[in-house]
Amino acid sequence: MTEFDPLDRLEAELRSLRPPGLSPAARARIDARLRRDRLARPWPLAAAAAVLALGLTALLWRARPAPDPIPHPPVAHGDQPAPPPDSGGKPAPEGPPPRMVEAPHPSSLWALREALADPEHDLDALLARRATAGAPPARDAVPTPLGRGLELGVLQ
Amino acid sequence: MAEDWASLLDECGPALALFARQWADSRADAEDAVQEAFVRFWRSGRHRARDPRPYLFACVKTAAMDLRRSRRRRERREEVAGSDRPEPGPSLDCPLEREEWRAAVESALARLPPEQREVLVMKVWGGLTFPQIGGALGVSPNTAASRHRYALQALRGLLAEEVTP
Repeated sequence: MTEFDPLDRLEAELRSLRPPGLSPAARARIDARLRRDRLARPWPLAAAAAVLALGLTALLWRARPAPDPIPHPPVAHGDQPAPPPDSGGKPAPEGPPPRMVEAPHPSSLWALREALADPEHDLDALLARRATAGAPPARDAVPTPLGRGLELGVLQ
Repeated sequence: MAEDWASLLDECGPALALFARQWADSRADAEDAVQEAFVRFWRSGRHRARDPRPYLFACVKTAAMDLRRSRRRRERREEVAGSDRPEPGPSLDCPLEREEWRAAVESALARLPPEQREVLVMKVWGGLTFPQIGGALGVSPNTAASRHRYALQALRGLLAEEVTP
């Protein structure tokens, strides 16, 4: 391609025609919209600062000193186990831990209520018969509605 | 910051408006497209674009096409006759003695295939290189160069028809 290429000359002539610039109104609209953006910029900055503060708090929380561990004295073989710290010096009870009593189902409570309301059930006689038969006193032979319900077999 | 966008707009604004005229019915529509594209670019794209000028041209093309599409939809909905559209004003400035030449160039440009016309505008009035044009339009630099060459050849023929009676 040389300087005298007709297409190059044509391009140079085209370039001599200049496109007009943007009108002042268009520039003012762009200026107004960009200025509005600049005014709205503090919001992202505030959000970034809040996130940073949260992150710092989390870091400080994780880096806090751990609490002192409770020292456990060594237990010799055959010795009585050491009492727990809040037992007042009494030794820990031997044997299995106490059994947890589950709460009865509401339908069982309803059956208990009906059984107690029935005059044909002589609970005292029932308990006396058990005692004479040599049955060990049941732990649930407590004169409470729950104990009587267990005795009558309406509660499992 | 204000000076940044103002200088960029001074540098690219006229070429961007001329570029937008390919899809805009009037100069005001072209300016609207430039405004929309420039604000969008300045808000979100200026930090991502390594070379802002081709990116700006691409934004203007998208904005101008969107604007034209919405205008066509509105015209169909309101059943506006074609004669009610704003008359396209002159796209290029020139001295009075070259007024005939300017009119001939604008008429010939309007008759070019769109893919050649956009490359010609970006090269001649936007001052972009072929790699930049290719990047903005999503074509290879060689394709951009060949489209530019075809556009100049076609324009020469059309101008010969227009100027010679």
